[in-house]
This record gives sequence, structure tokens and C-alpha cells, in this order.
Amino acid sequence: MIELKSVTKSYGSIGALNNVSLQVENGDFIAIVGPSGSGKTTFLNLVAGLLTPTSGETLVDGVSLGKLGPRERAAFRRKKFGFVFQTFNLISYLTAIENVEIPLYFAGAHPTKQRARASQLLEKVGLKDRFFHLPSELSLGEQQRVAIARALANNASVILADEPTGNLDTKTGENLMGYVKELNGQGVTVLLVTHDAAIADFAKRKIEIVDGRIM
Amino acid sequence: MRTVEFVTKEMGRRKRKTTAGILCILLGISIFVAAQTINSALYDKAKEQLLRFGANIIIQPGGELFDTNALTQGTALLPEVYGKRIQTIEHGGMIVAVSPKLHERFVVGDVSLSVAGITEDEIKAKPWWMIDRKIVTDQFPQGNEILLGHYTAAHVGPVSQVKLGDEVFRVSGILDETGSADDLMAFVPLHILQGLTGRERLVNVIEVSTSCISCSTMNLYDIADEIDKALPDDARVIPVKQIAEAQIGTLTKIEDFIRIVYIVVLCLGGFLVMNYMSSTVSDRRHEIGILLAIGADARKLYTFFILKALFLGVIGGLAGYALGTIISMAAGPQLAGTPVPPILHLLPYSVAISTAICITASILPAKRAAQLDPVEALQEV
Repeated sequence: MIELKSVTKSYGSIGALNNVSLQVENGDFIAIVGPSGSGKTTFLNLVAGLLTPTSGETLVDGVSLGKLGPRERAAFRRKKFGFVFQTFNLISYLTAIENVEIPLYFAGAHPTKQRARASQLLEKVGLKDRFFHLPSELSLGEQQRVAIARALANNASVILADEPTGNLDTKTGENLMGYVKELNGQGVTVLLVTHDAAIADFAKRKIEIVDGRIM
Repeated sequence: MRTVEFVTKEMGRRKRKTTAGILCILLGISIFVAAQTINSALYDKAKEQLLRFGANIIIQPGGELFDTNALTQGTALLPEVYGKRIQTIEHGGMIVAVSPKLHERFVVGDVSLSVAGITEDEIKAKPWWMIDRKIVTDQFPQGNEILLGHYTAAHVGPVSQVKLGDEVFRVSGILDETGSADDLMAFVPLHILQGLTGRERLVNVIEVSTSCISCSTMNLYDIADEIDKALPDDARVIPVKQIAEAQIGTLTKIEDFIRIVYIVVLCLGGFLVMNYMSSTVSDRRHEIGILLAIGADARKLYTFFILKALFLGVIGGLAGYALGTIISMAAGPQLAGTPVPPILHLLPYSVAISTAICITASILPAKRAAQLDPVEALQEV
């Protein structure tokens, strides 16, 4: 379970998120919607422990992220979370399969196990014949599917997706959301930031953030 | 995926950037290798030229005052066998020539002739001896032959034979002018003069020429000490201070110059690599953000950059050695006025120095990469 307790994040005098409290049960699928600059991405980064709240506390499965040191937080992040970004954020000089292997490598998995797991995941997202292609040789939809496979590599229990369909056409975006929904059906918690109402409809519930506050 | 694989893939698939990094260190190392190789050739040449000052250690009978003129008149004697003992010292390999000499004066017509008995080592000690501008070889006196100094020949006139005591000596050659006392002397084989003067196996002086003028561990004074210990007390060993000081001083200047080149190269290489690594960290901020987001920790990122520096150092060291050697072999002969052979033992030094520079210069940029804020880094595209 993810729990935000009166979380505030501000940069100097500018408040990005104001006194937000929220509980996300395991297996939930939440779409976070709101206008640009409303604090959606800040919310996601706080959940992931990439940002430290100015005040308040973020708990994931009872662990307070603010109380972990940088190394523990990195270890916690790779164990719990999978990230899917709007710009895919694949490593440009690594092939599709190598990109999926990266989180496994950081987690200390043996290279043979990394390869087996990455192959399995890429097959699952329909990229069996794209293992050894560089991101620049893949279509946008394929790149995003590699990013999803990468997010799942360490059996992440939470997928944090920031505008994952932002760079995809409608059909590819909907296909991608089909995968995400399927994952959610398997028990993976999904927090999805989007400003696209159609994409938000894939979620079980929606949260709207405006000016750093949950409406 | 392994750490080494991750780093080599990044370097291999970003060839242009990797090449730029290698060039940064290669430039410094090639200058270092070229300078060292050319200086080594210059050093050898200087050593050879400095040896032309003549013998740098003199062994004379104890009690004799050191005086070149007095030596030619010397009456005190040394056993010739001391010459062989000198070559048995620990650093005997640094001795180029051991020239025992016996002096005697003869009257030839109305000319008083100073004659020295010499061995073939005299040629090694005096490579500047020429006859008609050619190195003395066949003209070196054998048996009853005599080699005349330039002015001696002028004094005795155009003769093909010279009578010393009761013996007749055929003139084997006339030395070109040397500008030294040799111009006023004549030379015969040592054992012939010993027989002629009844001083069998005795000499007046032994002149020693060494190759190691100012080696890192040995200098002329150390070799003189070793010789002194190897000979009995009746022999007095004198390093020719004036020559030694001049030789050591000149070669120290060359060494100082090489040292300055080292320091400049180290600073230049380090500065270039640090700049390169800093710009690499800046260029890769977004990627570092991704890696942090998907589970990398600071230590892992630090390892990536230091490992990359290690690879750049090794490749830069190898390539820098190759390029520096090519440059020195191509440009060296014009700069040093002597052939410049490659120095193989510089290869491990080049790699070690290059690697040390790369790693040292990368520590700060690597730390900066490891401390990047992932959210800030991710926002940069």
C-alpha cells in the first residue's frame, strides 16, 4: 500500500504540491489527471522517492521513504517500482534486450538470468523479433513496449507511468494501455499521469490535481 | 549485462565521443613518448660527445702529483695488470676503455720525441683520432710500427721510418690535428715500448673512460670509488673533476628538461581528460537520471565513470605510445641529429601514466555524476 500523509513539496516560495494525503491500495489503478504544471509529475516523483517532501511523509508498504538513505532508497526503488516515461527514456546505445536487462543488472541478477528474464518480457510485449535492435531502429510504440518490459523486469509491484502515451498515436496508445490494464489485472498497482481523458478511462479511479491540491 | 560490458558498449556505440576522449589523453602521452624517445637519443648522443673530452678517471702511481705533463715524464710505475682488475669492478660494464700507457723520450735526429706505448683501447677512448678524416683502423701501430702525432710528423719531416734507440719503426700513419697533447707525441704498441725500455708489464698511467657519466644510480665518482677499492694502495685513482662536473652538469640539464616535459604533459593530459569527462557527465545528465530512476545507486554510477576512465587510459596509453614512437622516429633524426630508435620499456610506463592521469582526472566528474539529482536530470532532454 502507498500512503501519502500531508505531503507538501515546494521549491523556495513556489509550492508544487500542497498538503496532499492519499492511500493507494495494492492492485489499484489510478489515473492522475490535471492541467500542465498542476503537480502531477511531482506527485509521481514523491511516490517513487525520487523527491523528498518538504513536509509530510510517503510510506510504501509501511516503509517511510524519507527515512531511507540514498542507497537504500535506490534499492527500494528498483525492487518496488517500474517507470514508464512519456519520452520512453531508453538508453540509446543499448539494444532492446539490453535495456530490459539494466534494472536486473542493478539488482545484481546473474547475466544468464538477466537475459532469460528480458527475453521473456520482450516476448510478452510482442517484441520477439526486436531483441537486438537499438531504440533508434524501433517505432515509437515498440520503444514504449520496451520501456514497459523494462519497468516489469524486477517484478515491480507498482508501475509509475508519466504520460506513457503522450508520444504515441491514438491506436498505439490504446494498445499500450491494453498491456497496462492486463498488468493491473495480474495485481500490479498502476499510477498513471495523463491529461488525456480517454487514456484516464482505462483506470479504476481518477484523481485530479489542480494547483498542487487533490480536488 | 555486466559492469564492464555496460561501459564498453557505451564506449563502442558512441565511437565519436570515445575517440574524442582517447584523443585527449593520446595527445599528452604521444608528446611524452616522443619527447622521452628523442631526449633519450639526444642524451646518448650527448654522452658520446662528452666522452670525447677524454678519459674521465686517471690511475697513477701513489705519490705522483696529477699533472698531464708530469705524467709524460713519469718515472713511478704501475703494474699493467691493474688495468685488468679495473674491468672486474661491479659496474665494469660501464667502462668503455681502459688505456694503460708507458711514456718515454727519445732523440730522433735533433728532435726530442715523446713516445707513448698504447693498447688498442686507446682507439675506443679516443674516437676522434682520425687519419685523413677517417677513423684509425689498419694504421694502428702493430709490432715495430709507429703512429705520429700531427706536429710530431711535421718536426721529424717526411719520413717512412723512425729509429728509437736501436729499433727501427715503420710509420703506420700520421694523425690529423686533434688540438691536444697527442699532436706532439708518437705512439707505439705498449709491449714493444716496455721491451725497448726494459719496463716489462709496467705502465706510468692507466686512463679509464666510462659510459655512465650521470646515471640515475651511479655517477663517475661512484665508479672511481669502486676502482679505488679494487686496486692496491700503490695506485691512486683520480676522477677528472673538471670533466666529470661538466659532463654531469650538462646531462643533468637534459634530465631537468625531460622532467619539465613530464610535468607539462601530466598537467595537459589531466586537464584535457578532466574537461572531457566533465562534458561527458553534462551530456549524459538525462541518461544518468534514467539510470537513477530505474535503480542505479551513486556507487554504480561512480564505477561506470572510473571504469570508463581506466579504459580510456589504457587505450590512450597504447595509442599514445605508438603515435609518440612514430613521431619521434620520423622527426627525431632532424631534431636530435641522430637516429632515434623506439624505446620498448616506455610502453608500460605510457599505459600506467595514461591510466593514472585518466582516473585521477575523472574522480571529480564521476563524483558529480554520482551526486546528480535524478529528477532534475530527467527533466533535461
